[in-house]
Amino acid sequence: MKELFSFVNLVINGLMIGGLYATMTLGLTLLFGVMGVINVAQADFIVLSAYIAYWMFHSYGLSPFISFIVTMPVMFGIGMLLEKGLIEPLQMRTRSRGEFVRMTLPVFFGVAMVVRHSMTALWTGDYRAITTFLTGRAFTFSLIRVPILRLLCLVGSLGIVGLLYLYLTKTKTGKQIRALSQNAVAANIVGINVERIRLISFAIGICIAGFAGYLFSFIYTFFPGAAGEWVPLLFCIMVTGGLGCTEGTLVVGIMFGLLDGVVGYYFSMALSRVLVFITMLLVLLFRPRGIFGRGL
Amino acid sequence: MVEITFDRESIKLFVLAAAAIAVLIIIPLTGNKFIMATSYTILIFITLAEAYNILGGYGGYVNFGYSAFYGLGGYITAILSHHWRVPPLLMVPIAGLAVGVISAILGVPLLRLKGVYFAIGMITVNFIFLCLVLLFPKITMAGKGIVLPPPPPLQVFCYLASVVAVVTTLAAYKIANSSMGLALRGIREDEEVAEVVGVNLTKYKVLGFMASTIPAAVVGGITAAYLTYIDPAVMFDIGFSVKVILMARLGGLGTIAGPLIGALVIQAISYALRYTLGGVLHKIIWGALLSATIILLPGGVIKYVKGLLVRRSAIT
Repeated sequence: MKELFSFVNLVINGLMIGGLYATMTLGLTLLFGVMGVINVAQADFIVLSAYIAYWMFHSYGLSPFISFIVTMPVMFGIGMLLEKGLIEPLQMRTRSRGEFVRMTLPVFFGVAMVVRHSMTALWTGDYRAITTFLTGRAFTFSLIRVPILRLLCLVGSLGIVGLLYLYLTKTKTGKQIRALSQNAVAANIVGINVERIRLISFAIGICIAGFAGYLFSFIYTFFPGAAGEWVPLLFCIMVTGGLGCTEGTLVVGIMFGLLDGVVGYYFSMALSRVLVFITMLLVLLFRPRGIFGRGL
Repeated sequence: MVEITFDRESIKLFVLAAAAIAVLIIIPLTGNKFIMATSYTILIFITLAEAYNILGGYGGYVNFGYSAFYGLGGYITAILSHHWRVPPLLMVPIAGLAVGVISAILGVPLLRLKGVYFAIGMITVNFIFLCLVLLFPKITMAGKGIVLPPPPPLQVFCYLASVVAVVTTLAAYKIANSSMGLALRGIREDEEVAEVVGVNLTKYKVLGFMASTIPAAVVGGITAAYLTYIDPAVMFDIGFSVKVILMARLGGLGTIAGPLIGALVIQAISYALRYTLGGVLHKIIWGALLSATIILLPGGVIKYVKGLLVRRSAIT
């Protein structure tokens, strides 16, 4: 009986962590789906946001529960700068879309290095964590525990996926973003300001990293190099869920969260990751459009 | 009987090659440790950039998981040497062979992926190897890393790296000027057309893949012996792949001189930054330079300089 409860707890935990995985990947999915940018720096922006939340809390006393009101605008701004400074020039200088897509990877690898090592230079390599009155607290129902902060992660991730979905399907700009993701030339012909939409969608993609960093800062201890181990996982979620498919990201994020929770507990984290990577390779080989098989 | 012609171009090339080989022979004789260690690293990167260029430059398949094969070579060498108690350098050929076989097996499905999907797939392969190392701590010592016996003198490594670099460069030259080079170029330009014309896609892609991974494994093995210690984070580092790709790109993809020049230039910059700035700052600048060069010099240095010369001659 006790085993059963511990299994249920693992599943609940995996579910909630999976929500965080999905939020962390969501920006990546949007960036790749709309612009074809492989943003390997996304995890570093997430850690940067967590740092911003941390310093806002420790220096200015801003409650970490609302720190997203700072991290998201900052990331939005950084996103706009990057789009103007890197994406646009790169696009002008590459011969084909394929080459552009491939070259975004090393470009953003450089960005990741700058972000990561700047954080080390500014704030040292010490581990940081945000501790609030809710840290370690949980709702308990007999033997089942639901950690409150992790529940917040799941709620937050469902919220942000829902918001993004509404934004993309209901607003004019959102529809234009989707049009751009389907066909940039046609979008230009029907009168969409492609340059502006690219700027906005890129900034939104990075902005979501700001939200993910806000959730991240509650759950994990972080240090400047923390992003390193996340990058491959986020890519696996993105590819398996379908490049540019937001619901796919949510579902697969939660799926991999469950896998990490259960396999990570009974066997080892390394095995869970190998399974994740192999799943991704199989999806890439046999269903290259992801398990849901459709775009944004 | 092979006819040998002495036109100016080939004499120039011959003189250059002779000078290069003379330098390679003299360097270890100086006995200066700094010079030897530096040239060892540069030679290693020349080998890697040239080998990478076979598939990445001629074939157009950008392999961001190149470090996977470097790391695998290093690990096979280290594991065999550790468990059989033999000098690691003797195990390097085995590592090369093993990686050749492994990449042939992996290449068949993976090379069906195109463009960015291939890039992502290869990154994943890199991380699968990394996780496999962590998964079998009894064999690989996992995160602790493997300590190898003390290395032979630096001169040995210098000569070895010279031989490997020269052989790889010559092999790359041979391949580039063979039917295989032609097939790979065809694949780069348009895979469907190449197939229609009768190029056996899988065969040439897998051969090109093996030609680029085997030198990486050999270099990984030699470097494992050179460093006498390896751990997964160093051997399976995507940053390492990016560096090699940048070298091949900066020089100019799909040429023989390109990767050579790229490796020299980038390693020189890398050293200069490390010794003047040190620590964290050099990594920040390195990251910024990485992004900037890719955006500013998409065709590589050779193409850029040629472009400048052409423009100048057009003006005058």
